[in-house]
Order: sequence, then structure tokens, then C-alpha cells
Amino acid sequence: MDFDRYLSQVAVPEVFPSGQKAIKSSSVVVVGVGGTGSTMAEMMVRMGVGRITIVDDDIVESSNLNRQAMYRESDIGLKKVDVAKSELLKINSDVEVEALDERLTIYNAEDIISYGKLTLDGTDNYSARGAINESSFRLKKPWVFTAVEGTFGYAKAIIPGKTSCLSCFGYPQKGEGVSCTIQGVIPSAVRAVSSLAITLAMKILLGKEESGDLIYLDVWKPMLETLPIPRNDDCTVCGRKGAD
Amino acid sequence: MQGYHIGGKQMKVHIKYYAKYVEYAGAKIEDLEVERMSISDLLEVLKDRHPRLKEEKMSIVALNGRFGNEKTLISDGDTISVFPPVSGG
Repeated sequence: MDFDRYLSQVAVPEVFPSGQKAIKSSSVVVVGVGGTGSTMAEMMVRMGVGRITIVDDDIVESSNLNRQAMYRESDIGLKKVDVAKSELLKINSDVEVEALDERLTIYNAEDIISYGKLTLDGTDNYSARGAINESSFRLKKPWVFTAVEGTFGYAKAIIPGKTSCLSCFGYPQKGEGVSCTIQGVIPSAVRAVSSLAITLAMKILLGKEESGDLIYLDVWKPMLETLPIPRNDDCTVCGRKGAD
Repeated sequence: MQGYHIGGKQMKVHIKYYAKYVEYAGAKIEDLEVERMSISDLLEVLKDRHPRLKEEKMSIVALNGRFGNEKTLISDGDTISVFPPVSGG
């Protein structure tokens, strides 16, 4: 491994001395490579993750270009995963990149999540997150929830058996929601929430994330709050009275 | 301060709204006098006061800075923070 390119992050006490090895030996799945997903995928690859699987069945559209990483005007009409894979390999050829031209559903979620040690949520709808939540709990794999709208968004680490899950606080488990193009979102909110999520991902990979707090961020105010969410015994997904 | 009197002991609570809920409620913070009730019942009171809150599938509610189970009863002086759900990514 070419350590020189990672010197600045290895110098950080939270990562030094063995953190880079842990990142390099890790595999992540990024579900959805739109606003948050493309940004998170780019950061994970720059940080030197060993293997990344990107999942999306969309094509690049002009309305994506104001906020989504890696895509250019010349990519309009091309498959996002094809463009993203090519760009990610240009950024860091040491990383193994796998592209799945699929939409995650409750039917294929377990197969997709099985590709990695950790899943990053770059989806844009409630149903996909519900499927990730249920499948991750069954497979005992951690994941990082993100969602953005307007000037604000959320991020939360979800570690089965340790933290609360998405269903513990009543987050909708089904439905399409409203797209960013219709609801509106500013690029800086997308990048800020993605950065929080990648920090949570690093902490999970380094074994340093335990809390599972919901992080609320508004870039316009600006403000950031963490909201402790304890495990819910009555949760239909991870409740101690149920499957755990 | 707005009051909701149904007959029980009254208590003062502070409601904090976040993101688009500030627009829906017309304020970042409001103080209410209500009788002792659960968080879910309080949410219904808030929806009556601010009907646009009904547009959302659910709300994330914190009681004194921690996630509050909807069955939890509120107490005098509590701060209830209400966040909207988000689906975009």
C-alpha cells in the first residue's frame, strides 16, 4: 500500500497508528450513488477502503450535476454506476470497485448488503431504507443512515445488537418520499451530511462508534444537534421482545 | 402562552420546531399550557394548532434532548423538540 497518500489522515490521533490498515482491509457497500451516495463513495475511495460496491440503476441527468460528485455534462444519459466506477478507479486504483446496476428492494437487499462489512445509505426513499434496516439486522451488519432535504439532514450509525435501528424511533419503513428535485436541497447540505456519515463510517470500521445518536444538521442556520435514541424494546425490527 | 384546558392539572411545556416545521408552526419555539398527556397526544394537539404538520408521515420527537417514546408522559417544564422526517439523498 502507498502510505504516502494517506499520511494526513494517518497523522490524526483517532486514526493513528493502525486505523489505515483497518480501513484498507474493509469493504463497504454504497446503496444509491446520487447526492449523498456519490459523495460518500468518493470519500471512502480517497481514504483507501479496500473494496467498494456501488449500487444504482439510474442514469445521470442534468438536474444531478449541481450536487452529485464525479458526474459531468458529458455523462448525461450514461449509467451512474458505470461513470462512478470509472471515476473511482481514476481516483484510487488500489481500491477494488464493483458496480451493480440494480435498485435495492426487500427482495435483493440481503444479497447486496452481503457484499460488504458496512453499508452506506445513499438512497432517496423510505422503502429502500426499510429494506436495508431489516436486512442489516438479520445479517448483523452495521450501516449508516443519511437523509437530506432543503438545508438540513440526518445521519445515524446503526449497529445491530449495540444501537437503536431506524425503526426504533418510528422512521417510515415504506414509501417513496419526495425526490430532491421536487422537494429541493442545496449542495452544501448534501456534502455536510455525507461528511458526517463518512465520519461515522470510519468510527464503525475502527471500532470506535457505539452511540447510535441521530445527528441533525442544518447548514443554513447553521446548527448541529445530536439526539440520543435508545434501543426500543418494542421495535418491530430489533426489539428485545422480538427477534433479538 | 396558549392553554389547553380539559380538566386535569395544567403544566407548562416548551415546544421547539426544526427545519420546515418552523415555517409550519410560524415560530421556532412556543410555550403551551397543557394537561399531563403522552407525547403522541401532544403531537395531536400540535397538529390541531398547526395543520400543516399533518402533511408528514411521522415526526421525530425528543423529550428534553433525548428521543421520546410516543407513550411517554410529559411533565411540567419539559422541552419537546419536533423534527420532520426526510427521504432525500
